[in-house]
Amino acid sequence: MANISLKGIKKVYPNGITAVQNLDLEIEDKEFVVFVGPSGCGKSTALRMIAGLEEVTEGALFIGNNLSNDIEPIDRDIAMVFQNFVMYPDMTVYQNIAHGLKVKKISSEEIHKRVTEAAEILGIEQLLDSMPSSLSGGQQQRVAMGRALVKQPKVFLMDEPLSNLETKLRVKMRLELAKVHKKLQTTVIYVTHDFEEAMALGTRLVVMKEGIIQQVDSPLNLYTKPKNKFVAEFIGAPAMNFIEARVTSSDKGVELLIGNQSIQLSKSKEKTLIEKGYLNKQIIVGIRPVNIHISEVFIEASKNSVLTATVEATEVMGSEAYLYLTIDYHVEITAKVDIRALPNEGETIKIGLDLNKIQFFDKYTEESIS
Amino acid sequence: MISNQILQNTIDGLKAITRIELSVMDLDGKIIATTEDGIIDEYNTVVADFVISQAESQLIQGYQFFKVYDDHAAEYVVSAKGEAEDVYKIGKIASFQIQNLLVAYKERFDKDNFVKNLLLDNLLLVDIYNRAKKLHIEMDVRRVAIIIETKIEKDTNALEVVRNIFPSKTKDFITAVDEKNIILVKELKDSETIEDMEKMASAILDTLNAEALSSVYIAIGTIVKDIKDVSRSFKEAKMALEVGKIFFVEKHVMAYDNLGIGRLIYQLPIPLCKMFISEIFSTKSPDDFDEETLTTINKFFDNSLNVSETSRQLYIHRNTLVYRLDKLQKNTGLDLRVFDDAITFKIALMVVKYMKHMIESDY
Repeated sequence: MANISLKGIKKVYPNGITAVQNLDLEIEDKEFVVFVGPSGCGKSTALRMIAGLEEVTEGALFIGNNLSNDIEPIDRDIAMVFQNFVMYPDMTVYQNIAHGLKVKKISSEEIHKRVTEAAEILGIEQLLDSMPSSLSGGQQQRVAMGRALVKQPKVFLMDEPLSNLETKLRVKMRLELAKVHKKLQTTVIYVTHDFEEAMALGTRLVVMKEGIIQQVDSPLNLYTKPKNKFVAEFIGAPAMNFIEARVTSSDKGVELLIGNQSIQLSKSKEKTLIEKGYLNKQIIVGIRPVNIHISEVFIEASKNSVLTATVEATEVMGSEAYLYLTIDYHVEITAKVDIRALPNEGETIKIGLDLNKIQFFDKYTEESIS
Repeated sequence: MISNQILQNTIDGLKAITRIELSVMDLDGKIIATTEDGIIDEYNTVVADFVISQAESQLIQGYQFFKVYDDHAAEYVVSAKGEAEDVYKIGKIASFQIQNLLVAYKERFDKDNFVKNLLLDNLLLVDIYNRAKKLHIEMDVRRVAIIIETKIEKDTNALEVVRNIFPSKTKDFITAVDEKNIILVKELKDSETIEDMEKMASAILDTLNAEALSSVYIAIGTIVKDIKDVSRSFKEAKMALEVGKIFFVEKHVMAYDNLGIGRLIYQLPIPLCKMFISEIFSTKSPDDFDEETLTTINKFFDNSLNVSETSRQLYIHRNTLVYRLDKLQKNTGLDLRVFDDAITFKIALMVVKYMKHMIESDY
């Protein structure tokens, strides 16, 4: 078990491409940290640098207080689990799991103890004598996990280990992974492009884009207090709506002009925009689909935040539906509503925005205004 | 040659079944494997006389001795403790077993030797077919050469993992022609394509990263249908490895088929490259551009010359990007928004990368 410290880490490939820059992060012992972001954001490169599979171009990497930049991967006391893996076809599950320890010349009693323990944690005791060809995808993934578990490392590094599994199995496996972490109490660094997986697993998420950390926070804070438009858009499905609006003032107070319609802000939101100097300027308003309401009760109670929109399309997703709407023919937004009282396509309806959940972003820097 | 450990395992196994003490000695009488305690590495003085005698087996001082032949020449001597008839039989079985092991190992060694020579173009065409036939290697099946380059020399962990993934009973060959490269000659099914090989290579890469913690590059040649062409596939894989490191450095799996224009540039003579670069950039070399300009150019290419998307991804205003592109045009005479100029610039950048690589590696 170990804490990990990344100080000003940078990765530049020999061809000049910068994959990761200014990576500053403290990972506590026993923490489950998830690096999340779209493909090419540098999350896997960051993980590979921690593993020692990629060289660090600049900065300092500490594993358990030891400067580890130049330490060979094999001496870093880590174990990795990847998306792809190959079983040794001629070996039983037991031998597949034990192989890494055998190479290290660990005694057969110790190997037996560790393999049995790992198999118990992963629920594959009954498979130990099976051959890999008879295993299902989920069972194979467990064996791959077992290979890492038996190494008893200070840190587990996992790079999209569940990506190859079908959706249901992936959800099941991530629950099991969370349980395994609780049992083992080891530091885990996990990489995924799937924000749902990240939110389900991580105690802290590191959102990356273009090799740069955008925000490091708990799943809840990332959802409710994103630092910029990218984080707001990346976390949550369907994605947050972004509407360009002008901040104006009238005798009623500060208003947001969206197309030809306006909504009036609460005092606290008003204050923020005035203090930050956004009066009479364009900003980006962010609102999640789930915070757009069409119920009469809501609209009656929030008259200041009602807009008129046209229903372009509807998509029923079970007990909820997505409404694809346009405001003044050009502003496109999505609402997630209850399927009861679903409007018809082409119909013009009133929508109420939950002003307490609304967020603002600078139009040019795309940073959150708060 | 068979390792002493394997000989030891063999006689241990036979003793577990028969409860008869067995030993294996070299022709000088040195005991190299034995089931008896405390006599390993000692010399059995009666062996030398037995070896030069005409007898195939002999009973001396309570032990029965048997010769083990390799190509009609004695290679080892096996002894079984006891004078009884069944001890004789067990000793005979032990020597027969070791003799078969010798044949199997020799065949494996011969195959490895053949594949090495095949890859290195050391064989005449007629020899290729003759030897392949002798070694029971099929000649007209689809194969591809894959090179796995390890970061450290003699990475035994990596070799062990690869050998485990492709066990010897399959029709694939694993060999090495130098200390950093593991070579896999893989037999393909009719339906398998280069994309399948890339997927397999990614899985090998991940397994090597996880199991052996080895940083590796994997390169794939093209699929060939005749055994004589395996060396071509190997050369292509070698080229993919080199070219990949110049132009696609962040990729760890590189197939020859995907090298694109990089393959062409890699063949250019350096003086021609120098001439091309000086014609394009005259005084200013792309190396002189600052990091900001290079990032802008690369991002602009990544986004297929789309100004809006590039500015969005660079967190800069569209006009800032336009200003940077104008400045670049002023310096180089190339407007990256125009396709012909963009392609010239792209090739020039690749040529510069290639020249740098060649100069660094002391062409």
